Amino acid sequence: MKILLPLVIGVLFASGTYLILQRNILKLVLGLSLIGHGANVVLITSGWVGSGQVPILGRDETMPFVDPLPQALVLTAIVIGFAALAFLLVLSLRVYRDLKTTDIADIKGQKG
Amino acid sequence: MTHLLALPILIPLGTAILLLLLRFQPMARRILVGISSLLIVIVNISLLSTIRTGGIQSYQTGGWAAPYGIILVGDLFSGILLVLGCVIAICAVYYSFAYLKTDAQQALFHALFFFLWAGTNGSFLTGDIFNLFVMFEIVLMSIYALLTLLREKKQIEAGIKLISMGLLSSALFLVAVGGIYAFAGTLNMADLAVKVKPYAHHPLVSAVAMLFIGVFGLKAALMPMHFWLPDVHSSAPTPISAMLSGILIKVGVYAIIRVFCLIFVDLQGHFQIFILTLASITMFVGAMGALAQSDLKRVLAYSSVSQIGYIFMGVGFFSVAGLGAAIFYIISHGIIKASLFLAAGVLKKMRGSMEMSEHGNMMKISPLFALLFLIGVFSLGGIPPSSGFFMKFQLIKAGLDGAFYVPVAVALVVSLFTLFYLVQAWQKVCLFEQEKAPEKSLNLHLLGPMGVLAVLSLVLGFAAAPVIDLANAASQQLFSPELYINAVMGNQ
Repeated sequence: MKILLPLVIGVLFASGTYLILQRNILKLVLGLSLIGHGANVVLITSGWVGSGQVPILGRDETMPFVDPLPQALVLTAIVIGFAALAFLLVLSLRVYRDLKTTDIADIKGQKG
Repeated sequence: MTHLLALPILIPLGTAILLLLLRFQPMARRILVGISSLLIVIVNISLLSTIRTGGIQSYQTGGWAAPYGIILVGDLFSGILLVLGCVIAICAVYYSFAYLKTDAQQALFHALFFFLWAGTNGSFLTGDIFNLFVMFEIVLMSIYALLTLLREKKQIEAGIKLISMGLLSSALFLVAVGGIYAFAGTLNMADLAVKVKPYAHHPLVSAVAMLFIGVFGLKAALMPMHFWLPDVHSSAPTPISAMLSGILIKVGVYAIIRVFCLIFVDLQGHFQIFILTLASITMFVGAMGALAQSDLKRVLAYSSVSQIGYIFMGVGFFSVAGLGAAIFYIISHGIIKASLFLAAGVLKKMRGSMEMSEHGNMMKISPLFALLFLIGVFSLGGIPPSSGFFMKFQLIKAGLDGAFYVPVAVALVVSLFTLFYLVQAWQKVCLFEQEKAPEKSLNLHLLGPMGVLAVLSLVLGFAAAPVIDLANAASQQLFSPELYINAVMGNQ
């Protein structure tokens, strides 16, 4: 786990960045959502203790347990990110209907 | 403990929800909007005066004590920004009644506007770094919707830019919050300040500080991250442009000042050169951009980028005088820029276009408009009796006192460009002959709020001393973080 989570974060951020650099608007959306999830995993790891238990009372309380606060924070962050992504998707749909294109460069050409 | 501190967030939030419920009762909505706006103004002003006499106020939401619950904190700086915000917002609200055509648009606009207002007030008041993130998201969400409300093509293009920017900056914000939480185990800003202080030079702390500059710089449009601002500010509906340039880019500046004067106090020296360099480039790039535009709102939007550079220069001095000057600059620029954007909206309503070449003759059509517009132009250009002169004078004086000659030189050169592009714009709109007659006559309901803000900037020039004193007192308070920490942690 100690190597796995940072690797996952790295892969999420790297593939997100790659997707953002593409010209297709749908890939932009996917890239942004991957980066958002990468950030969520970073936040999860900030409360993570090596061999920590689930933070529920009544278990073996001598063992270290995981900090539950970042998990609550991530929940908030996921909901907010979801709303923004949904809005972005609707806008992309609107662009496709108006301009009949999914290419970001074409949108820029259509000033005014 | 007083509930006054929670009201600037609760009143607009409640109003927004009520406005959604009253969607089909235009008259009731109008009354509600009027009453709540006035209430917020009263609450914000009384909050500022309470802070002025009684020092930093703190409020524990839900009664949970300091490091665990979410704390609202009001110091002089946030009080000043709250009052500035409500002055601009009340003008924008009044303006929007005449600006938006249909009742359906108004219904959505006002509900979203009050969500925006709640988010802005919340970001100024919160004492918790994650709560700051949530407030930022409330602001961003309402702007996404407000920007694309009228569904023009330009707005949808700008909307995609803004949302991409917003999602990216929230991701970075979360990484920064994760980093600082893993390090210090707390999210309360005052508690963070105490816990981070002994490890100020730990590499992780510097990395998080850098991330915060990135996140908040993106929101404030600091130079390499300013790409989204001209499109967004120029294509938004005019009352929102005024809000965006007047108060919302300052939310980013506020957050940078807050974290660097509280959590990363010991890193100020490390980041000074960096911030000053970025600020100087921002000033220059913004002014160059403004010179090249033919669209009046784009001129103003690029000018906002340039002016943000000035504000960051004041922040970058990291001295009481410099920060005081930056705070005065924020106040003064907010009022002037809002007035100029509202002026652009008046013109747009008359001819349906923002291209300066299609305007002209305003001097003959309405000398009053030409005069009010000229006050704004001279104010931002820094001509003496206006507040714009004092904002630049204070800033440059602080720079010379601290022996920062290069940024001051850049600021002076750029202020010449500023005057040049603004006077040029005024000339094109007011003096040049225009064959075509305007489609519609001048709307006095639109002229009113713009005039109020223009006159206010002039008044601020004649009565600059008390406001400058207030800004300096706020800056003094920011440079004694122990006051803030005691106010939050002391009353457990």
